Amino acid sequence: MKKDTITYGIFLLIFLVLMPLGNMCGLIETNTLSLWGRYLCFAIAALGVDLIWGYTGIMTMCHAFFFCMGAYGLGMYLTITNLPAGQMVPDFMSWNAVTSLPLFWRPFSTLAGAIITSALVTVLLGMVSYFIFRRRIKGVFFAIITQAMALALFLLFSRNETMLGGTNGLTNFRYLCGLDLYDPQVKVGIYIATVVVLALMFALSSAIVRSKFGRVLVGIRDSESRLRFTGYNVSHYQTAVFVIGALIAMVGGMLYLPQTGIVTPNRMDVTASVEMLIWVALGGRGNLKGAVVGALVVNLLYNLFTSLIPEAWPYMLGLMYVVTVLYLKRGLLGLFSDMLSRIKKKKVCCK
Amino acid sequence: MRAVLTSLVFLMLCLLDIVPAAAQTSGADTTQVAAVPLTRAQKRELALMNNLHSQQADVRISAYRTLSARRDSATLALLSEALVSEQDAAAKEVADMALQKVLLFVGTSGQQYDAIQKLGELPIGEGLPLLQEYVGVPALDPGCEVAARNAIKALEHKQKNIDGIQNIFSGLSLGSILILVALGLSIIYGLAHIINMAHGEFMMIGAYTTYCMQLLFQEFLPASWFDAAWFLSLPISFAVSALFGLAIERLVIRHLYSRPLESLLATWGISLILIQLARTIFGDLTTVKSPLCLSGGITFDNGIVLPYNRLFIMALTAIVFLGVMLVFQKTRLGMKIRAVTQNRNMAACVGISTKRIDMLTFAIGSGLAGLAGCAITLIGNVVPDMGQTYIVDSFIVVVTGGVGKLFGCVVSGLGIGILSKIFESMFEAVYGKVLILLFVIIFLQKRPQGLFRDKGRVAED
Amino acid sequence: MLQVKNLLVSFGELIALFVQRFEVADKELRVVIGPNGAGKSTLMDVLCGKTQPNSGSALFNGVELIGKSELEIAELGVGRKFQKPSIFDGLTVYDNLLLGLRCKKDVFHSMFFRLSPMQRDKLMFTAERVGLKDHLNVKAGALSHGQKQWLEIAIVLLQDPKLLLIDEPAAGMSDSETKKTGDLLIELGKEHSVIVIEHDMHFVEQIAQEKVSVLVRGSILTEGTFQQVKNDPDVIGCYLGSPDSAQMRNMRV
Repeated sequence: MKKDTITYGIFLLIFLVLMPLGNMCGLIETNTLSLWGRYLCFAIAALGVDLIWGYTGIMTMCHAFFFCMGAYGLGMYLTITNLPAGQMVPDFMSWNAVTSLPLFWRPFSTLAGAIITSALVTVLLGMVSYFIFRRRIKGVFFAIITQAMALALFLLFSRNETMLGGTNGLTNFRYLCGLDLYDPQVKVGIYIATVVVLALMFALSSAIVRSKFGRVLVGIRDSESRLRFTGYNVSHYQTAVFVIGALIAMVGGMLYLPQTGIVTPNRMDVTASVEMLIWVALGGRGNLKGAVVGALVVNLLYNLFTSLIPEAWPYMLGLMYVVTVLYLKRGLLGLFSDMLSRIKKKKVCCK
Repeated sequence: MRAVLTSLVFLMLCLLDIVPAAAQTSGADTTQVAAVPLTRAQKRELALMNNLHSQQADVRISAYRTLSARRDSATLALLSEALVSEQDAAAKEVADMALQKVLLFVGTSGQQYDAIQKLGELPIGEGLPLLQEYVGVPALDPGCEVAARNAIKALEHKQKNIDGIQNIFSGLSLGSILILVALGLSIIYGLAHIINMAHGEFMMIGAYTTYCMQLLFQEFLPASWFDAAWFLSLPISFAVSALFGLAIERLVIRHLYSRPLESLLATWGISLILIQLARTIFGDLTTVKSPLCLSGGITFDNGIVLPYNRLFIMALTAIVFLGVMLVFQKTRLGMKIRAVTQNRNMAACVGISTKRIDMLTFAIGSGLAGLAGCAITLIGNVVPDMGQTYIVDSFIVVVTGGVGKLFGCVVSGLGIGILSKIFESMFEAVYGKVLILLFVIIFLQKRPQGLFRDKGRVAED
Repeated sequence: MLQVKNLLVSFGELIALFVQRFEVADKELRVVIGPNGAGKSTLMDVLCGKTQPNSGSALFNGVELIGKSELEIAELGVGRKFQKPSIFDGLTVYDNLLLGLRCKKDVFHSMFFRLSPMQRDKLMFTAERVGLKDHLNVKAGALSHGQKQWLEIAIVLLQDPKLLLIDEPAAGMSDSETKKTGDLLIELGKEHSVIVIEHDMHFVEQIAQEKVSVLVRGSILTEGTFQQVKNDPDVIGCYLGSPDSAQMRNMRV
């Protein structure tokens, strides 16, 4: 317990104090800070994946969609509020000869409305999974169905006539509640907000894991039927954790958007969802710290490779999947703690 | 006589439409007309007249076709005159139809009425636009207008039926490809509980093998061998994909038996690597030329066309499915595969080398995907990530059909193929996909274990 | 307590179970024996809602069990222990017991669950009873086979079931463990109705307090005290396979 507190302290010290300080002293560029901010958003989403997959054992292949739910929700709000004076609808709509804002865009015209509506849609779509869990469809079959769902939603969002910006997505916004998103100070502010939200989400997730609810989740992973015969309605729990994970990812997506300034359907395709799985698997499944570490490591590597040798990145990512599955069953954190205990043993032996 | 009449008509045409006003004022002096340099339109008219009197029937037919697009009484006279002297049966038919088409617009109302009836019998693509144009003409004879509207309705109805049949047909061929891909998936999952996300990439390997074969043949063999390249690619793409499958099984998959979720991730990684490999070697888009003998199709009188390439794919699937069934039911290898599928430990106890069976089955499954890839080159482009297009649908086929059930694969493959084509025709392709998915989820509410399921005491988890 | 009538279960052509009449009284310890494939486990599967029978009825305190889900049956007070230990390997023994504890088990209550002192005492008492009190913080997956069986019994016990269905509790246990399990079962029989399926005749002899039922080819062949059953020529025939045995006769029927 004490060791964990130190780890959290170091994490917060680095990301909440040292990095912004470095920025103020001119050591770290604001764009680099924003980049890290984006990766931390991914880490938030990874927490959701870890709850659903790592703890409960349900492999979800549409998690990126929920991430995008947040990004799109906020994006729609920003699109409306950033329209040039006198323009009623965004450009992509006027190209489709739409002259007034579609009805489903209306709730997104205020920030609170946008947040509440995205959350509602996320919860409702997450609850669709109940119909799958109810029939005790699990494991790979659940994965396959969510994958198909991700594909279908990706296609829907890519269409022009669904009024969500088509393949170009939502972009071209500058002001969020009067704050200039291009202003370096605002950027730093959003970065700090991201770190704080990540910490909050982490605390929330670990509270969930430590509660009896969390124990039931692990119970689902180990023996669904025992739970059922013990009197638990397993599908309710599965749906609940699926929705909670989805909401966490949505929060990540909402923080992601102002830091990239664009969201496109590509963020939610099947590949993106499966990539979220590798973050968690690489960091260490069933370990919330692992989810954060995995998300950061994979995205840093991505950044490194795409700037040095872009063609090699798919090979690297592919290898990462294979190696993680074959050799790193408990992820990087598992490897780390194994190494630590081995060193300790050696020390004991030497004495 | 004929020549004189023709030149007279020609002159008339020139005077009416084409010859500039200056030429007209100088009087109807033939020599003078000839002296004027011919405009391009006039040259075309002359060529058309020549063609109309050509010795070759097909040249005359093309002339008739050109004339059929005109709407004036001069053409009417030309055509009726030509029809009288026409000897060739096929050409006569075309001339008659051309005449009717012109009559529809310039004939008396009685002639118009007859023309409407005759045009109603034509293939839809030819008759329908004409009739639609006709009802747009102002001040029609009321009787003719009603007749024309009725004819249009009948034609549209017929068109709908034909579209329906074409849809079911393309659904069948899509289903066939899904079956080819899903068969391998289903066998492998049934045997070893491996979800192979790289299965689509084995398909891609098959397609690129076909492409390479074609390049080799073009390079080293005479053009007459062209068709052979494609057909020879069938077994070779099977073999190449099977070899790739074997290699991957040995390197990665064999560590993952009975760990379906892990296998899903690892094979996803493999698929990323394979796609990037293909992109590095071949670039982004390549096409394979279909063999000549598979171009075209069976055309029916009512306008339905069944393309040979799609028919071939369906036949190939049928043959492959029968072959797989035969191997499974009649050979020792098949018996061993079934034994390991049902009870791995017991099979090992009676002396079956389960490792070897796993290897062979994986290779066969991958080979089947390779075959599917070869077949797809007939109807689509070859791109590095082509496997991704089919893999999700194939998984849905496997889930709906009941895992490890070959027959379930066929039924659900055809079902999903046809349904998606029908939905696509009714809505946009995208909404069709969404509908299919909804349909599958509702179906699984009724039958969570798919169409075909095992009976008996369910094993513990 | 439990009344089973005309229960029929068939898998395709095969009739797995056909029990015309089977009754268990309140606080009775009933042992069901029978050769492999006799339908013993299927009977339990039906009673706990895992398998739906083709026809028949099973009344539990006057409530029909057939057609109810596992969940509803568990809430009525029927607890099931499986042949293969079915516990939560990734959780500690303490957490395993916590999940078994009788309380509201919906999502909301689980999220804000706090253990009351009374519940804690009950949990500790049960842990002591199955001999796992010293292992509360051990991951369940690390327990020995026998301990896993006990843990599962404890999970079931903490639900306060009125009827316990226990499938081969002594399978794979050492002699001393078997003895201990037997004592535990006898003790439980004083508080709950218990149905035990068993193969091991020595173990049956130890625990059979009242009636033993013999299930053969899906039907009840005979019921009686252990001594009666043991000396029944039909039963002996079933196990040893004499040509005149009930099994053969049943086949002709």
